[in-house]
Amino acid sequence: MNLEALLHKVEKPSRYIGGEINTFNKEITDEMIRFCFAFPDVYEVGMSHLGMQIIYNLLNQQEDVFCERIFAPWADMENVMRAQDVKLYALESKTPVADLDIIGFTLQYELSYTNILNMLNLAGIDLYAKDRHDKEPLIIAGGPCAYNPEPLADFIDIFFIGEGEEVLLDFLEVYRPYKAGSISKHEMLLKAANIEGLYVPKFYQPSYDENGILLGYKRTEDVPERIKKRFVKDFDNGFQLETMIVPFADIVHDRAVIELFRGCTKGCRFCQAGMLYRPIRERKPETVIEIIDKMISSTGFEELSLSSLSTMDYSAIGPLVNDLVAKYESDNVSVSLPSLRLDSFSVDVVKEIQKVKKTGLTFAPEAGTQRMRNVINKGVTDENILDTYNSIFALGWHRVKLYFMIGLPTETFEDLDGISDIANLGTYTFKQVKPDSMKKSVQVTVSTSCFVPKPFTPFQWMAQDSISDFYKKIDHLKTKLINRKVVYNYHDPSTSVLEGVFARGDRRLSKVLVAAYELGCKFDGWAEFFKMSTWMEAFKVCDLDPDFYTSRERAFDEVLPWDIIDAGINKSYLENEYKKALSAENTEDCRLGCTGCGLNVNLVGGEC
Amino acid sequence: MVTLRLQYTKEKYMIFLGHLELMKLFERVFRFNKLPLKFSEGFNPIPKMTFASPLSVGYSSKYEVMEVQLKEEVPIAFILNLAFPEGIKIIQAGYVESKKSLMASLTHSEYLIKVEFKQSIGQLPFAEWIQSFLEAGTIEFEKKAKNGKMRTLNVLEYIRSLHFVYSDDEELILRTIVQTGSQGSLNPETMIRVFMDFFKLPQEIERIQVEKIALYYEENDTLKTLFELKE
Ligand code: SF4
Repeated sequence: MNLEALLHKVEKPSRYIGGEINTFNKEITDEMIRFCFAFPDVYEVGMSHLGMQIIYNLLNQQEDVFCERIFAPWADMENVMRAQDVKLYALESKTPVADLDIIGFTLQYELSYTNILNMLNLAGIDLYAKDRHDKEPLIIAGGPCAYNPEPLADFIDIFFIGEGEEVLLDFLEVYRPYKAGSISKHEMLLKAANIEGLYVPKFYQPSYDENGILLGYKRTEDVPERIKKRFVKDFDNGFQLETMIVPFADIVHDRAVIELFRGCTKGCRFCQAGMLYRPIRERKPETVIEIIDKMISSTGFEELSLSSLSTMDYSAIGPLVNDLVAKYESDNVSVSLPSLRLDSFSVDVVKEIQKVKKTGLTFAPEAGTQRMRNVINKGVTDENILDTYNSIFALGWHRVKLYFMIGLPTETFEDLDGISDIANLGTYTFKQVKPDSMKKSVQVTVSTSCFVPKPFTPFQWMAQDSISDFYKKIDHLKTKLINRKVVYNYHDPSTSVLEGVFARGDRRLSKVLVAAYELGCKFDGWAEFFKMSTWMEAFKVCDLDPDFYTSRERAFDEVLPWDIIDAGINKSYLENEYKKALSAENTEDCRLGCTGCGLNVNLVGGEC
Repeated sequence: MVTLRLQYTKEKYMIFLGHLELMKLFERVFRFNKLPLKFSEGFNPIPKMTFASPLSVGYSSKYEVMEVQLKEEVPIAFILNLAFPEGIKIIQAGYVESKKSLMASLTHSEYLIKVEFKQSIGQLPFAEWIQSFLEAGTIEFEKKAKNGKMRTLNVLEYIRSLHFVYSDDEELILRTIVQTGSQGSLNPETMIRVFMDFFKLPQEIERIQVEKIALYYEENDTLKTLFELKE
């Protein structure tokens, strides 16, 4: 393969060459387990993903494992690869991935699923697990979307449910004898299926009633009834990412990342991450500082991001930020926070890190009225919003970005009007409190996304808005958001509806994915590729109705495709939360008192 | 404050790095090796680095030159051992007093150019052709100016030397020194295309591979390699 000749013909060739700082290139022996971490999107997106950096370093620390990477080649690269019959190759060793042992896909968003099929095809690997012979790589997958694995169940040999650090190492224990030839593939899969956290879909056969509603799963082997999620119990002492690959290309998030904690206790009802990553586990500030030091001195990154689901809720956030700013200021390493809470405390903290640079600030009130925020249990009050405006504008900021969702349960046009009220309150407050020296004018950017109900949330039973419902709401907002200082951006409803189909889909969707892929769908998360009409054709070919998955309210006693997964949260808790949502009743942060989700009792063994 | 000058290579897969990517790479290697970088003032401090001339993506080079400002000297042996990804290697390093800017001083680049053809080119008298090409007096070509307008220029005014190196059935290798820098530059690929057009060669070009072998500045009509640039 003359890879070089190929690379002369494509845009941004640096994303296909490997060899970045802190990558591995191990000597290859027959015993070496050849693993390939696969991100089903372009390099710039995949390399920004922290999970990839964690797994890459974790696996490469194992002496007998060599972990490499693949990303989805952009269309120009795919075309030259297909024209020259070059198979998808791993970036580190340039080995065709079909020659490796294990390919591990990360499932971050549903709209990347067709890319998985395209990457397997580009590698020359059979799509369906049942068609793959023993010489083909084992295809595994993990990540948040693996909590509803069913739409991909026909393609994936093993799903990893929950956090991967520990369970991957457990899995290697049963993979080694298979690699050595002392057990068969079937035996290996059976052993894997009995490791907590691993789901081997071929041992679970679904059946449906005449309306297409799932009846349940029949186990074909001696495997557990439900698959419990895995998580790192001792996060402070668990595997720590102390270095990262430093990309050549300008990727989406080009910076060092340190996780302050996992989990979130806020209990926002729309938020899948908040439910999936429980319980909350913090890293000690000393540990954080120690890791950051190693990270910065092995990567040379000029920016450091303090990451978590809700960074402002880290117990020691204030002192930590002060310490870090003091320590790294002279080296010109800046500190960044992924998301801000709407309160004056958050403003104090950003003030510290943005002493000079007054770039825009981003907040997520999520909904326009107090009632709507009670429904989704987003603990933000009108007062919080006003206070925040008062302090940021008085301090000299003049641009603010606000994120909202539309299509939330019980939403009315009044709730949408609340969105424009919040935006107008911003431009009004700016005029009242801005410093005299401020010569710039205010800009409030409102972005709305279309709500997608997700498994393991209180809204998992609800009907999603249809594309036309969403457009009605967007059109309404367009007529309301007419203030010249307010910019309105909205997300395409059709992609959210397709996401909704796969988020709560069942195994019958595997064939829709194949049909859509064969009709040319890929990179569905990218506006320039997404074609809803092609998807509709695929549903038709397969005789399945997308509305069945989206705009249908499910009964509480219906068997849900993801019931086979045990995320540690009691269904009764979710049901109760849904009922409370419908009557706009709040549930408080569970740090202030257990709200009864069941996680600690179910998975940790104890009480809250 | 001191100025550190480096001559380095950009070869193998590193030829696919764009100029901005290369600058970022240098910054990060310097940062994690804890070089005492000098930063620019202002809202967005960046290390003070200058590169003699950006290399086109896809060209390889044995001779790239850059300078970086440090707060104090670091032993040259340490600098020569900085680990870059395979393909980038520091060949020489030294502290310079020069106030002259690399970019403004640069006048010429030397390239090896390998042209691969789609069809056989048989035995063509390239050495003689080069002679008559260089003696043609004026050979016009179109060049896009900074403002986007096309200008007609004489290619020979940009060529300091052109030599035949090798040819066989499918490929031709030439060596050339062309003008580069603030006075105007000639792209080696453009030169090849003008050359081929001049002789109305019917064969199509499959690809052109370019390797830079030196950068020069002109002093009293002679060329000196850029790393030697002094006050
Ligand atoms: S604060 Fe709310 S939205 Fe954010 S992670 Fe926690 S539960 Fe989710």
